[in-house]
Amino acid sequence: IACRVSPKQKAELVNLVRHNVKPEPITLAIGDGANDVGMIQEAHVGIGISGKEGTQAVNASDFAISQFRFLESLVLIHGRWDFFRLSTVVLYSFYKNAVQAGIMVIFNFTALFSGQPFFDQWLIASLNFVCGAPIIFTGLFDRCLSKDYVRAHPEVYKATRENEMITVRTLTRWCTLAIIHMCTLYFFTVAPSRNGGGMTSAFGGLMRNEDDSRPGDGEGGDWKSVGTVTFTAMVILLAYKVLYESRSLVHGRWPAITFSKANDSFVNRLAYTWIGVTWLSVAFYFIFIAAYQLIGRLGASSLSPFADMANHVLSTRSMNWMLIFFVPIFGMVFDVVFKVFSNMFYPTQTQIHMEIEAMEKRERKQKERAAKRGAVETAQEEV
Amino acid sequence: ATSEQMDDEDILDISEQTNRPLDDAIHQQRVQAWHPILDPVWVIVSLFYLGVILVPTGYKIDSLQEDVVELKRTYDDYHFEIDELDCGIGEEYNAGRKCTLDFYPNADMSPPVLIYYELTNFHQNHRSYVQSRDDFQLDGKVGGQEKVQRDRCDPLNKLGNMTLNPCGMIANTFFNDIFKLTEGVDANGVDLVMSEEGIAWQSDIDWLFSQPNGFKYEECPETTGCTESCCDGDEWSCSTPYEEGDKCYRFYYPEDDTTQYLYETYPDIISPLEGVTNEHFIVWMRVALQPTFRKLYGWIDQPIKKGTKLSFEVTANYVVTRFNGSKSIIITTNNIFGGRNIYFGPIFYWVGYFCLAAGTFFALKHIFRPRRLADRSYLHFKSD
Repeated sequence: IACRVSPKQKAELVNLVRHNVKPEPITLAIGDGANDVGMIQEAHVGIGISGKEGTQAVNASDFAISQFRFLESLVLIHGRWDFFRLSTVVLYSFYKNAVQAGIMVIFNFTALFSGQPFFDQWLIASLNFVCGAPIIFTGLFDRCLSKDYVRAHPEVYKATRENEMITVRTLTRWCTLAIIHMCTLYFFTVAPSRNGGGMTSAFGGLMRNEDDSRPGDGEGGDWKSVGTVTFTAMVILLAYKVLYESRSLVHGRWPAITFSKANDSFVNRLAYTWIGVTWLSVAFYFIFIAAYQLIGRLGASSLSPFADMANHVLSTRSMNWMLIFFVPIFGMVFDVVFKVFSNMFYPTQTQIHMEIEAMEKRERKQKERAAKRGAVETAQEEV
Repeated sequence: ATSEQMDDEDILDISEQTNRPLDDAIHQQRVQAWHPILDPVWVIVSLFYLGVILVPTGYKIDSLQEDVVELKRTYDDYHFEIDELDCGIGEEYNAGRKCTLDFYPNADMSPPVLIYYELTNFHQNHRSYVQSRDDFQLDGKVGGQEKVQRDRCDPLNKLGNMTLNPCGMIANTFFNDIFKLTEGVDANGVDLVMSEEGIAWQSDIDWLFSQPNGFKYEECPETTGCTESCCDGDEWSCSTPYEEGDKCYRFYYPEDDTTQYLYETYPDIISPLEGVTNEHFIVWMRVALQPTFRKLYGWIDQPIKKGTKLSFEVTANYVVTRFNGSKSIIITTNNIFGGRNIYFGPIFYWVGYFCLAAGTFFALKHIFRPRRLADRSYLHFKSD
């Protein structure tokens, strides 16, 4: 705490801590007046308190609060939540693009490393559109431990200080899983589509009621078809992965649409996580390829090679549906096994705290139910 | 005045706090959410459940493969010694060598009986190969080829001073062996007929492949009959009329004197009336995924009894020795998933076994040395 110091000395104080403590700490400076501007700018995180001494500090700061006591909430609750959200978003975003690129690398082993992409060019471009929504919702809404629990157990902040989310262990886990997922997605969709697997299932399977004079419509062992199947499985696996890595799945309240009070509008009740994963990701992908395939009907263009691809991939081959449904599940099996193993043998601090929180919540609910039952019984006795 | 008193004076009533954020779920970040923790019991049960579903599914899929009757014969190879089959043509392009292959199914075959040709070591999935086509030409555009397309088709844009239409590697490495079913009777004693229609995607035929703009054809009129005079005049570009069955046709291709069209490159397979819309060609243009691939050639819509003799006359034109590849002909039936697939079933039961193994391991650990949930002894507060 500094007082009776000139602005320059305040800044120097922060500088002293920043550059002379090993390892270099993350510094935070908080002040409310114009004389604090120097130190606010010097520190990593500068917080200005808006109020009696004007808005100079607020203008120069990274965060502005109106009362000093809000600092606790800002750093402990929101800073901590933000750390987990940011880490998850960063790790997942790298993972998502690594999986797509990695599948293409594996494919090139059989394409003489000519650089042939495995997927249609517009599917590649669309990855971050169809797979972007779920992780954005995680970044907005993910809550690792509730406000009350964190206030009661502020020691959970230690994990944040020690950068628990981006350690060698965490990065190894994400890299290993990325590689496992790439291999799962590639080999489990390509191997069954080779040679006999890519053959038409004419007169049977999904072709049963199709035009009996055209068995060729069920042929699906070509490069574009199999690439599309793998891409579909990948979109679904990436959606599952977001659900798995989120610590809170926002299910909102049903019904979400309500026409009553302003404070309880549907914005407060929406099941954001599920909407992000189902409608804004997977359903969006299917709608996208259903529309994209129609452009080929307008005539030759750079977009025409995809003509009717979604129809063929999704409505003429039963094997594709088996793959699209099961291969993402196979990918997640490895995820789950990894995590359970690490939870059983080397649990992280945050994991233990989450379990304690869940246990306390359960016990609280049981007490409430018992209290209610007790109240009902006494009421009945009185009657 | 103490600081506490000052604080009390500073704080406004809630009704006067104009900047106070809304007290609803969105702004206060309490939209109802579920916070799952990984309960080991749930995971163990789920793994066993999944394993129990996957393992029998895998074996059932495997058993479906046994219903598929597949007959395969490799008839040319890069180290193939020309033997009694006499199908190997070495490096003799367009040799036209005819040979006969006999097949005897080891089980009854139910329709559709599909005939494929299989090539090995042919990288249709190489980037330069995949790009080497002009989709505008294939859809009927004549002339006015854009530089992008010309670069992609290089060097197969011209052959001598004739423009190639269609240009590019894919179109001009078209598999031009011919298979003809010469002998075979079905279960009812009717002669077997192999159909070469219905082998390509209908959507390809409808939307992606068209004869060149300006192409037309008609039957030769009675005045000229089936002679060369049928093609007289600037209106028709043929030199002699084209005979199909018992009819004669005359046709017009734009710029035919400076362009080599597909029917001129592969006269034995592509008729001038269909050009790029020939189904064999469309099947070939859909590039395969891996260097060993099979493409549909024809199909038979009649049942075949076990032991029936099927004779195919193969006209060998396609050279595979240059790229150390091989050619095979495959006759097969299918099941609800496709043809014989040796990887599909094992994927399921191996993952199933993995699930069961992991479930067992975790169950044993949880029973004998459980890591209790919410075990505070794992928490440590001092830095290491």
